[in-house]
Amino acid sequence: MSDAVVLTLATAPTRPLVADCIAADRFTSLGARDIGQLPVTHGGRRARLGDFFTVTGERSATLRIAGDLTKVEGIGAGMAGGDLVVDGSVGRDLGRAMAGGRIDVHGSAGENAGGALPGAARGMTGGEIVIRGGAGAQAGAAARRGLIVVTGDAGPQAGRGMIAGTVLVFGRAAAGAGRFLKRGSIVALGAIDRPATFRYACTYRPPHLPLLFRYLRTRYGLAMGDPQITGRYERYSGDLAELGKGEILQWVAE
Amino acid sequence: MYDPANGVDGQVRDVCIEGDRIVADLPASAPRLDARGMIVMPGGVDIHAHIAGSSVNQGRRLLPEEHVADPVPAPRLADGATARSGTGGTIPSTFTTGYRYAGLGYTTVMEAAVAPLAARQAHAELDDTPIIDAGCFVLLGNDDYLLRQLAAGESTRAREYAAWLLGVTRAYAIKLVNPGGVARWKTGGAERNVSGIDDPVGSSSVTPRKILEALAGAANTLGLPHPVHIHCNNLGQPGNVATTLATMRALAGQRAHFTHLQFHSYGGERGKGWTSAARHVIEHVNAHPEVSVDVGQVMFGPATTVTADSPVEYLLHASTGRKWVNLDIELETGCGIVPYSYKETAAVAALQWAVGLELFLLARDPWRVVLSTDHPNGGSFLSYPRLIRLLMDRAYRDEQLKRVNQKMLAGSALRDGLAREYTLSEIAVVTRAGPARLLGLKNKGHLGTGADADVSIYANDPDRAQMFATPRHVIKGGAVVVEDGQLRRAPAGRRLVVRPEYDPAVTRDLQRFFDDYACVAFANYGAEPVA
Repeated sequence: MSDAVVLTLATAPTRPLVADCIAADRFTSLGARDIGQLPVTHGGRRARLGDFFTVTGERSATLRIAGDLTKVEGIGAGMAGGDLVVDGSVGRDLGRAMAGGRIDVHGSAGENAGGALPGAARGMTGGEIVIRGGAGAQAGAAARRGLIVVTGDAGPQAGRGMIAGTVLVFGRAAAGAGRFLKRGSIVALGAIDRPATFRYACTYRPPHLPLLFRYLRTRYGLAMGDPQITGRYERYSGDLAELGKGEILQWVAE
Repeated sequence: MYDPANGVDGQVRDVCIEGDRIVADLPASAPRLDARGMIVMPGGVDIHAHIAGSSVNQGRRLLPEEHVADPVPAPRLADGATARSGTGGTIPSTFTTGYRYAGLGYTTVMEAAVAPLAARQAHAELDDTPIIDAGCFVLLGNDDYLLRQLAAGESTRAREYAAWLLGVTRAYAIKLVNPGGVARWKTGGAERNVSGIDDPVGSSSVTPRKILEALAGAANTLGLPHPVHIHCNNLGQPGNVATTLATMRALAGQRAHFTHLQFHSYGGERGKGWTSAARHVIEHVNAHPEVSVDVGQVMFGPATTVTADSPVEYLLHASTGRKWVNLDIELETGCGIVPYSYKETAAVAALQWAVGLELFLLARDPWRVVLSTDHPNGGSFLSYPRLIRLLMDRAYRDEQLKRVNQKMLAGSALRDGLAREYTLSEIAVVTRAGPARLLGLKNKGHLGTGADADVSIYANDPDRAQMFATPRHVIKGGAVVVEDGQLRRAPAGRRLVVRPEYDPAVTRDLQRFFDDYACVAFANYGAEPVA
């Protein structure tokens, strides 16, 4: 057993590389050799994880990945525990339908981070995803539980159809954020393009947000200004075209 | 060997196979398959499942998440035969459907709802469903042309039409789904369904009762091997037992098959709760030898409800919020699809589960009460082995009964303690001999001389679920398709069809009807092979 399993991108993929075998909890019982044998698809053709990554360390619930992973899809899909730290930007389906554990990306992420399989009723059902950069469309779509933090801008339809859970966007949240969500919170520190089916409820200081922010500051070392931590938020209830038990919380500068 | 049609109940026998038939004897030099100590039965016959056609395929398109969760690599077949990969889930792909049915020891399956307009697609899919012999039931209970003939009092022409349609769609039997109810749904008016068998449908002279009488009469007059196959009105509604019994009485004295009876055996009242009415329904069935049924057991776990009964699917979608599809098959029928999950903790699902088991356990004549889950509506056909264990093993059943939601089980005979355990011979009846006889398949469901060489061989495992899930050998049409538990051959199955005589005069009237109303030219209609 090692302190961590480290995957280093050795051969850059030339086509989309679907590597949904990569998950921190899945490697706890695997040796370096077995990890290298895990199946991936490269441009629709079968390949092995070891064809692209050098594996060091084994049998650990802590996983580090380094390299330009923008073509690598499905990292952390279905992950149920452990810590996954990515040094670089990743492709689509990061932490798709994950159930637990923590994913910390030092870079941006593609579409459908923490989202659902096509056609599935539920996306992420637990755990945390922190993206220290921008996120593509539909971050946290159909999430049932869990937390997604985007320190940059979020693409269109963040938190689309969420059943519950929290999406926190530091930058700008593009059109359609929270559309069709039933429950759950979208917290916007920057500008947010709010759907018309959310209705203003009140302006208040949500007591739970300081707890969340302090946790993120301690656990991930995220830089956070006091005005956001203790500030006032406008609450918009929605999506009124759905159950209407969710909310968009938009920070108001004093 | 368990061959109830020939009175063989657990005796040690040889089964002699020459070509695709069972013969009386063979020379001593013939190759042998050693099945000593094993259980030998005829190949399974599924009287009611949804495995091919436009509705099933629409269901596959609706469920990409199931395909990701259950990819099926191509099996490694003997002789370098072509095998195909596919997907599983509640609605497997065509090839996987064939492989998995054979993997359970089933060799004949009836596709229970084919819209005439989509018959060509159903046959194309069945062409790609290996191993199993298959037939189609053609939907007629809400057919516009048929209802027009009934409205005009032209019952003879209605019968000629049914005969023509069976032939031109290469079907095997006539199917009714919520007769009149779907037609009403499709008009889009305030009345979205019928509430009983005497509601008028369009014309005051057309009612579900009239449709039932006309088509039951047609099937019997035409001498079809399988009588009319009926999905009653008010499926899945509390209190629908009244409709079900009224339908049975309306056809008293005539042969008729009532399908997925479990979904039609509820007491109670809408908005006031549900109860089990299985006892009333099965008592009627027990007392009327002209009636046959299949149960449509609900099994806990994922399912996909797919039926021509659009109004029911609408209610199911509205109550669950799950995604759905609603199709209008122009002049002929409807279709709705809603993925669903039966949970032990849900009161209604627990009631449905109990009602199905009550029907099985209170049935006096297993030859008329067939095992089915209305695949994939009550659960996948892959759950048949577990269902068999529920029937054969009281301790297993009682243990599961304790775990389910008890809220609606107050009037259930199951909770009073039904001690009955099915014997292997009775299982052979409800999964093979019975359905084959009800379908009029003289060469299926038994192992007598002249029968099709469809044989399932199981290791005698005391865990009957395990035993029926993993046959040691399966022979289909004389070919050993499963050998030592491995799928080794996948020959094409045969199509089971009827082609009743009809008066060609009906086609002249139909030609005019098609010119006026149909999207398809009369000459291009149906599913005759293209030259």
